[in-house]
Amino acid sequence: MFDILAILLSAIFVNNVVVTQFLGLCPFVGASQRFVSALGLASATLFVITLATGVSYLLDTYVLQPLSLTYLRIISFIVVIALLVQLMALVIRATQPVIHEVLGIYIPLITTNCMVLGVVLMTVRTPSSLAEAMITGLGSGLGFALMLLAFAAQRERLSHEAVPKPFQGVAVHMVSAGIMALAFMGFVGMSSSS
Amino acid sequence: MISAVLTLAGLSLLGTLLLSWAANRYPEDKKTLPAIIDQLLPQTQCAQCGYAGCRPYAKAIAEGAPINRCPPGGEALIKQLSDQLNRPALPLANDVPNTAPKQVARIDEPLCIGCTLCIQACPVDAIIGAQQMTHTVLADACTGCELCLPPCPVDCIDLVPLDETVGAASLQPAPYESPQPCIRCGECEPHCPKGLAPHMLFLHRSSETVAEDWGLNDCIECRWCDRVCPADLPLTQIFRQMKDMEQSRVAAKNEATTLLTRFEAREKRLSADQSRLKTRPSPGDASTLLTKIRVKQS
Repeated sequence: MFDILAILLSAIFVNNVVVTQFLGLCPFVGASQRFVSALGLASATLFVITLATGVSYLLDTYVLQPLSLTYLRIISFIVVIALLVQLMALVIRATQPVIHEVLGIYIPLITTNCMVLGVVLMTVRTPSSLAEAMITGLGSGLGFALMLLAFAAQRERLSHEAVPKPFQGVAVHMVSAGIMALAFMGFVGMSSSS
Repeated sequence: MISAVLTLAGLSLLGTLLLSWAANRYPEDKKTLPAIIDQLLPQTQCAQCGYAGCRPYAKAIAEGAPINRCPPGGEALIKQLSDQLNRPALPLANDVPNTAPKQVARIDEPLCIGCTLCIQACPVDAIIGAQQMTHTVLADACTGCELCLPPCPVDCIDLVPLDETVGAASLQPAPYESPQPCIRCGECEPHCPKGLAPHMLFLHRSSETVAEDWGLNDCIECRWCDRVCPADLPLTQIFRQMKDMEQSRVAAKNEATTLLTRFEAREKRLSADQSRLKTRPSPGDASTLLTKIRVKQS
């Protein structure tokens, strides 16, 4: 139980994908104009990343490693992620038209989100169990969601503020993202070994 | 080498099978292009475009028909369609009757002979009356489509203009332009007795969803925000205008829905009539039955 919590917390805060590993920066900047769409994208990514780590872990442990084909990891994980995203897009389109309307254009983007592949590759490299792999995926997804939502909320507030001209647009977002990354460096000292 | 190829091929095959199963299990939803276009059309079902109604015209547009054939929608609709479909905005086609401004049919009642021909022609059941009885037009439901004019044998139907346009598309109220800027000081917010954010209402004054997003309709027009505003903005007055705009938006939307409901009810009634006619016994059946009874009696 403590292990699970430690993995989860370290994936969310200490090794946050966005601000300490610098993965998934494209949606972090590109899909954070509005809180609502950020929420949608965050939950879609959370779902895909959790499933993708699980499926990829199984594929790696039971197919790739026994056949000593670990050099096929990248290409086969890409196939797995693309498959999951397509499946999710189909299911959402048929069952949740409202979410599809808001997220329709973002869902295919998850396929090319380096964060999903990055987290999956890093998870399967460290020996663990299926549950641990999926919890790492979940934690990374939650960390991404936390950053994306915090940044979107910040941007919504910023859009109502009178920003000085030289800082308008991307500049002020860069600065605020930088400050957020700086703040997250405070978690680096945290250790789960105690 | 072989195992690598087989693994990748197997993985891809599995993925393909799974995806094709999912595509069959969850077919494309109803949010298709014709449905989206149909929502923009004014739902008068007037057939002035040359198609049987709004839905058939929407389908035709989706398949490439010109977007400038809807007179009730007018220029505003053409602009919306050209934005949505990424097609050039054209002026209204000149072979369709131009009915803007909105008109409604009126029956010159002393002349009406009660033939019911116009009742059958009306696409939204806006004419009431019976055989040998004077007919009349329900002005609220009439779309001014002129479909009742040709069938009338005594020419007793006129179209009278109504100083109001129809359909959600034609509605474009001018948003309030302020001479003074809102400095977003938020001074008004703590004063609002309804807990609204007047400065946000003001900033989003031209947004269509301002009522949902910022609770415009909760404003009780108490003028507290006017009094505390350091920029002296006439906030309450602006909110009143915004409420009017919102109301007309809702009214236009409701009108389109009502017309669609009436049209669909008519279609349903007509098809029910048709099926009743089909199952009715023919005169021949009755005489056979009578002969049978007579044979039995004798």
